[in-house]
Amino acid sequence: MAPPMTRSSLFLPFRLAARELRAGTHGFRLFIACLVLGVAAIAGIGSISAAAIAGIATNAKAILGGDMEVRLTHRDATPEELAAIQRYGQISHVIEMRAMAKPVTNGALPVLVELKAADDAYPLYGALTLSSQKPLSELLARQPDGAYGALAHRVLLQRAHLDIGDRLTVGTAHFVITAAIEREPDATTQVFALGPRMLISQAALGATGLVQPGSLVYHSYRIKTAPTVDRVAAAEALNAAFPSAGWRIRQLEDAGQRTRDFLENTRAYLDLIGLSALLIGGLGIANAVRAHLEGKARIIAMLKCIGATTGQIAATNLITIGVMAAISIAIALVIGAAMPFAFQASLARVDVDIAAGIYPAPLARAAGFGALTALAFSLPSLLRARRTKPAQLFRAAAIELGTVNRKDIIAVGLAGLALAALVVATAENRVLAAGFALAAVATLAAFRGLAAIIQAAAHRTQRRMKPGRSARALRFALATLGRRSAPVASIVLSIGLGLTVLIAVALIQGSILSDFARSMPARAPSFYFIDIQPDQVAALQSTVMATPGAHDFERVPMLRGRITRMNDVPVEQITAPKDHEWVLRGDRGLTWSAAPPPDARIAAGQWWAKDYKGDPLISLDSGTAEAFGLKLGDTITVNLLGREVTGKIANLRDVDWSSFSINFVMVFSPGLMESAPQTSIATVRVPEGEEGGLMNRVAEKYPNISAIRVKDALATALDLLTQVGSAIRGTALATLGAGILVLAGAIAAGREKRIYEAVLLKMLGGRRRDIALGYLWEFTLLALVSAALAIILGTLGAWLFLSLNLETDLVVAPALLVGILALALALALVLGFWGSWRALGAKAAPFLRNE
Amino acid sequence: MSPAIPAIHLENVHLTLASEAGPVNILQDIHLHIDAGETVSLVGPSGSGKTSLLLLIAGLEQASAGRIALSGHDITAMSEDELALLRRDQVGIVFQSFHLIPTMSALENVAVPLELSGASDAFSRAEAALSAVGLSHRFTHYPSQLSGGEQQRVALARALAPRPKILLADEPTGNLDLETGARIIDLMFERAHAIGATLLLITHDPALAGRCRRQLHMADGQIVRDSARVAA
Repeated sequence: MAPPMTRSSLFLPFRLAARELRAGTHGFRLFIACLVLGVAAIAGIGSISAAAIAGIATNAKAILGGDMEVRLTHRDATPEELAAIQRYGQISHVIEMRAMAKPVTNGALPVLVELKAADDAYPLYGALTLSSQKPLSELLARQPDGAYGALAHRVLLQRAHLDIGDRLTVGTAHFVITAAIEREPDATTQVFALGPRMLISQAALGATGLVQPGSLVYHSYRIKTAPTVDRVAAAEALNAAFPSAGWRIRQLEDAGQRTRDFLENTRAYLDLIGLSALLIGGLGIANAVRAHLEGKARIIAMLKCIGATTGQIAATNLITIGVMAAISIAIALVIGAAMPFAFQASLARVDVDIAAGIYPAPLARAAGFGALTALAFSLPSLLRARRTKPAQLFRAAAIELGTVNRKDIIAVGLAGLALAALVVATAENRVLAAGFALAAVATLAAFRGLAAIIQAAAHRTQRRMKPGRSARALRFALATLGRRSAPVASIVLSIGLGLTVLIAVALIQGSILSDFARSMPARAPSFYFIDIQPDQVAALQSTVMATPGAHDFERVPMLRGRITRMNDVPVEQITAPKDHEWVLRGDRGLTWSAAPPPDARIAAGQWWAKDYKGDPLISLDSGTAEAFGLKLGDTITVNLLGREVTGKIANLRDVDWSSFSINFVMVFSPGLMESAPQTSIATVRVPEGEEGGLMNRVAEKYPNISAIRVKDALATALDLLTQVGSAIRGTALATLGAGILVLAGAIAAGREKRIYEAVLLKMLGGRRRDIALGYLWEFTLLALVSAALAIILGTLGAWLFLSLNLETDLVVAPALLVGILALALALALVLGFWGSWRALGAKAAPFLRNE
Repeated sequence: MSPAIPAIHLENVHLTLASEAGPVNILQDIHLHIDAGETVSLVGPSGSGKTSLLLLIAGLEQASAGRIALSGHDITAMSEDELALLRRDQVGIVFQSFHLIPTMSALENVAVPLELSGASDAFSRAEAALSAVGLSHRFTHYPSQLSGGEQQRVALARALAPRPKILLADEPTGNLDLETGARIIDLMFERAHAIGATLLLITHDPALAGRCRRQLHMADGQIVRDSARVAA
């Protein structure tokens, strides 16, 4: 007997749901709060990241410095090359290198600066924001006393304690600071730079004497192309005309690539933490929906008595929950969409210009997560509700929802699978996302299992305990926990899941920071010296080694070259794996050596003979070989100063990039390389107290050599990590917030039952103190056991993440774990007593009268 | 002339429910034949099986053995949804505790079964049904705004509005005072008669039972006396 499908009956579930919703959102506050929190976190993270990436696209011309850029390492363009470049439009020539700037006015230590020599056309796009309104040419001009004008980034002024008008020397030239750089249009962010910016004229750069054969100098020719120019065709034509120029031509699409990658990586991690918040909120959603439907069970039974089908019941409830989910998601999307506007100013302070706006894609994705989470977590109760037995209306005092059957489990599983599929499909790093989905399921199962164990153990222990005064409260607590209807699973899951995420995040951050702050400096040398001319090597070594306590001086020759072909395939046709794009992107440092590096581990093949002088051979980093599918005998072609050199891979080396010793992706055999113009790079370890003196002596004697103090470089990286860390901590707080919401909801849901029990106990002679002690035991046991499992799982998760993703050792801070335990205990007790306080004070009479 | 189709027909019906202590025989070997338009009361001590019998007839419980037919439709093999549709079209139920939907007005409560059957005139028929029980001034009131007697009248209007062939009532006056209860019963008999419905009611009240043409006495899961049959 199929029901006749009239238009009226088709819309009936909507009408019934609408009548129900007229009563307002009262019973749905927890549902809304949980969904809003999770979806807003994901929508906000996605929107900010999209706005930042859009900001880069919007400012691409300013960031690149032109419509396209031709970039050469070590050398400037030949007149023929320059003429060819100039055919496409107005050009601006910018020269960049690292150098030591030594303040002369206050005797401060030399500072490593990123030197930039601009021509008169700079900047072609965007504006250089300075502390002075004077024209750039005037600010950079040579002063009557022979000093050149220089612009210093505010970070340089701070670091070297300099002011406008102060003087410094770079190489053999003298400078006076004429203005501070507030904002440089073609620098996306200072956080990647090893040193602060100093801007000078090209004449001044010549006067420094730093540009010598083999010095690490970058020449950028930015082109402001005419609107009719096809940029791709122009790049192809330039490459075709000068096939061995060894330049790299960058288009607008390449602008800010490093920042974009960084943002995307950060977003991937934040996203997973946001998802954790949503999943924990899912528990609150499940609890709220169950409570709502249990409250409605009588109506559902009655509707079935008067002829409602299971389908109509399911549809009505699904619509009600769906409307609540839609309202919650809408609120969350408004919050998420507003985030780029809210964070615009604070991001501008770290030189990230975001294009504040509304970005539909991340909002749609967050909405999808919200909808699927709401569905997956509501489904068990929704499916049970439609099977509510109407006969209960005639018999039972309390109406229960129906039971779950195998089909229901499959449906819930499918909803969960759809959620996991969306997580993986929309993730940048699919392996990480899949790992996260698996970990989420495993963690959920572990805490569910723990709840079952607690209940069984409580039940058994309580029955075995002998009645006595001393353990009365404990027995009361165990009896409560052991009861089948006790919300143990809700409480354990809400405390446990939030803490697991918090512990994992805190341990991962702590381990990375500890690696930077302690392990790395212990492994790393004190200094890198770069741009050492061949005739300075011996003198530098004796200067450096004369420093008391100096040891481990290492030096290798270094050339810069760009990989142009692998096995004769041009790199433009090679798709690099995401984590190895850097190998092909810019120019690489290369070295040559007769003997293998001291701590080299040869993974395959053999090192060449000490006296080998034949065709170039290459020792390649094994990770790079694997990423590009290269094997022994394959060839790599490198452009060195306009000359193409092809080498055959003779062996593969395992390189530990975290060791901070001098490492190269490619080591060539001697011979051809020896004759190329080159400089050396050297490292040394000196006691911390000697670092300043050594810097001064090197700057004095060898003005062209740049000394990079590893401590400063690490401090810069640490700064960046701290900034990312605060974003991560903020998001992790959302997971804790979700946990608190769920915990509060779970405790509030059992409040009426607690009050009733307390009243009965009091009627039978129980004292308020006994009842309170019972609660204390109950919540303490739950908090400690949940926190203990959270510590185990969070630590395991952090260890897996660190060892699989970052190859960093896990550092467990006992203070952190103790703090987490205390937090769990405090949360459980505060929320537990908040939810039970009324029970302690409840008077028996009103309850019993209502019975 | 072919014999008229009975409103309710039970043959050799058993009901056994599982419990922790093992299976419990609730109803045993029930044979029952109620003609259309009859008024029948079901009486007996608590636990005698009255409610279980009513549940079987309403299709809310599945018989362990035997055959049940309502207006000629064998319901023993029907699915849950088929039974719901049968109730919607043929059976009205009045509960002891009214069971109105608190978020709906009196009119909406009465209209629900009509809406479930897809009636486009659900609300005008609901208005008529409410007016027939004397509540034309209470259409927009919610259950919490009505007295117990009024709530039961709304419940009665809801049960009768779809013009069911069978009206089942489970102690319909159990939660009302004597005077209000008597008024509800008058109304129930009058309305059931007006639409020609068969009335089967459970009661502990001998006077109410006596108003029915036939009385079924139950004990230990069996019909031990059928007073109409005895009288015949």
